[in-house]
Amino acid sequence: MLGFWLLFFLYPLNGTHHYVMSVIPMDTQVTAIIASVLLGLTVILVVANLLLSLHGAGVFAKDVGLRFVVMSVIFYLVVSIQGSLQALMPVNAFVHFTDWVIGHSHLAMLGFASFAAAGALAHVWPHIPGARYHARLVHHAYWLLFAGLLIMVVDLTIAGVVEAQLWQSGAPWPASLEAARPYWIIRTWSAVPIAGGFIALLAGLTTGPRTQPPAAEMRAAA
Amino acid sequence: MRPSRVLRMSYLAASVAGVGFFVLSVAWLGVWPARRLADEAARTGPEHVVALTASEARGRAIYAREGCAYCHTQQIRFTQPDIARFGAPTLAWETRADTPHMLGTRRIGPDLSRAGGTRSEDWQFMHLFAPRTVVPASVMPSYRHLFAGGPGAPRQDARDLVAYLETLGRARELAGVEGSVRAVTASHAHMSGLTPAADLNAHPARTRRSGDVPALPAGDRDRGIVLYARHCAACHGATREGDGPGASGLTPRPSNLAEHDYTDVRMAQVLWNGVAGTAMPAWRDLSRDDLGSLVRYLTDPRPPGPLRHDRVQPPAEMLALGKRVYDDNCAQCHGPDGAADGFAALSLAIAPTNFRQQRLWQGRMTADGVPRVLRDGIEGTMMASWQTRLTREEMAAVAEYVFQFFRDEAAARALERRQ
Repeated sequence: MLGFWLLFFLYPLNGTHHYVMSVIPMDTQVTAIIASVLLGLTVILVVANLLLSLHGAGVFAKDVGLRFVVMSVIFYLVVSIQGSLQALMPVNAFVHFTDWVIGHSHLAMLGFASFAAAGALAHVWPHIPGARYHARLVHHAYWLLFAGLLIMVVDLTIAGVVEAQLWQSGAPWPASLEAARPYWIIRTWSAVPIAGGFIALLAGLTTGPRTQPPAAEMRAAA
Repeated sequence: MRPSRVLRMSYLAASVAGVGFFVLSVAWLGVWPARRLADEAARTGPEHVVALTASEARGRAIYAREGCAYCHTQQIRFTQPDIARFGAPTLAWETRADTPHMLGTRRIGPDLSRAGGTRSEDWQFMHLFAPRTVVPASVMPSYRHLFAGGPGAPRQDARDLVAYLETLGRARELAGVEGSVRAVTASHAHMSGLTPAADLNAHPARTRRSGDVPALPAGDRDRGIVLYARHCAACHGATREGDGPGASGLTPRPSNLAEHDYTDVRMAQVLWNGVAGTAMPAWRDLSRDDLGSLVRYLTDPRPPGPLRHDRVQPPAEMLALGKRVYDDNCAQCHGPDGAADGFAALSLAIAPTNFRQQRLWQGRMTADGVPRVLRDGIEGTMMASWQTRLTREEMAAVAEYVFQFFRDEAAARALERRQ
């Protein structure tokens, strides 16, 4: 309850942390930074509650829907703590404009949001009357998405640090491009498991045996 | 109240709170700062900002359409590395009329806030057409579709885009002295830790006609070779003969460095200030050690030959003829003593050569003793061809006379030490 209201209150105050050290009035920037840190703390609170509720299921739960959701919650925790850190001025001055931020936003959108959505789909789908559901493919989808996302985010985060370090050092601009090249190649290849994961998820929800239609509907049809 | 009624009310409470929090956030972090920003922009900005011309405004639309802002920011933050690399931090009034803004979120390429005046128009065309011919490490895509077949045939889209790029940072520059003073005041008010000086207004690649060159350290020749390959070879060529892949689109063409002698002072000036009016940018973003290394590499291994002090002195009558021809035809721009300080020099877009600091290496002269420059002129500059106006003897004589100006004290000392 406390978590809900705090998240509700703090989220809208975060926007300006995208413009730290810009011309936007310093008070506004500071407000957004404080809100970002408070939000990080709140998320720890909420996620602790969620994960403690899951006690016993394990991080890689047997039920694939639950497994998606657990990982989504963990990604949410990581991405939020990362977000709070990034909003702090010294960190922001370092990583802003680099691939670090790209990794961060993918962790939020693909890791948190997409995993939660996939978990919900995997949970609901087998209960829809007459829907096709291929459990093995959805299971594969989980591991492909998990592996691809992990590779991409770790890769982009390291790339961001490398780029930021070169920018800080005053090295000529092309040096940061040359240094980023291997990371960009890895990032490009990380798309293969991610795309494969989404294809497997789609296939898992459109192929395979049909679920049993409820008896009532059978009677109505007859 | 029964619990079920309270629960029904909770939806109402959540809705009211949701809208309320949103309104609070918009007011607190949107409306109120926007008013303060408008105040600050009015307080620190110049009396008026020059509007974009039709071509520049169209170029801005092309900049947006081609997605330039995905990889190039237009926002210099209040951080020391940003200021050192791209110039003074962006102030509120500078982007006031920029709707939609092009601030950007990711820097794959460099920030362009103050890119105006850092590169020549033909360099921009060459770069848009084939980026890697002028910046070998670039990952920028080619914008060939803005050209009709080659960098020398830009369509209107390309011309307008380059016209727009040339405006970046212009408003700040035109704000003048008052603008600078206000900018410094605004920066102080904004972030007391950083005090950008007035000369930080400009991008470090911006060319200047003149400017104080700091003393460069002696440098390391091997480092200079590496730097040359990375930054210079694209235009000046791997063998320094001015024939790199980027050279074909540039007018005047990049200097043939293998064909000239330069004093250390001259080379340092060119690197520090660029060559105004040409595609040669300034390299103030390189460290002084790196600049010193480049100077070392580009001046030290002078080709052996009948040079300098040990060369045969030309006959006195030849020098007298050369002086007569020089005083009549060359001194207006190149100056009476070859120091590029003739009365007409300042009116030239590209400064005339200073013969005291630079000369053609005589080993490279054509068979008849007449430098190619005299016969053909230099396309893209005010140096015309003299073939139709001077005889062969006059051209040879004036070349000999001009060589007398060159004073390379450092090289002379090095030569003496070696002997």
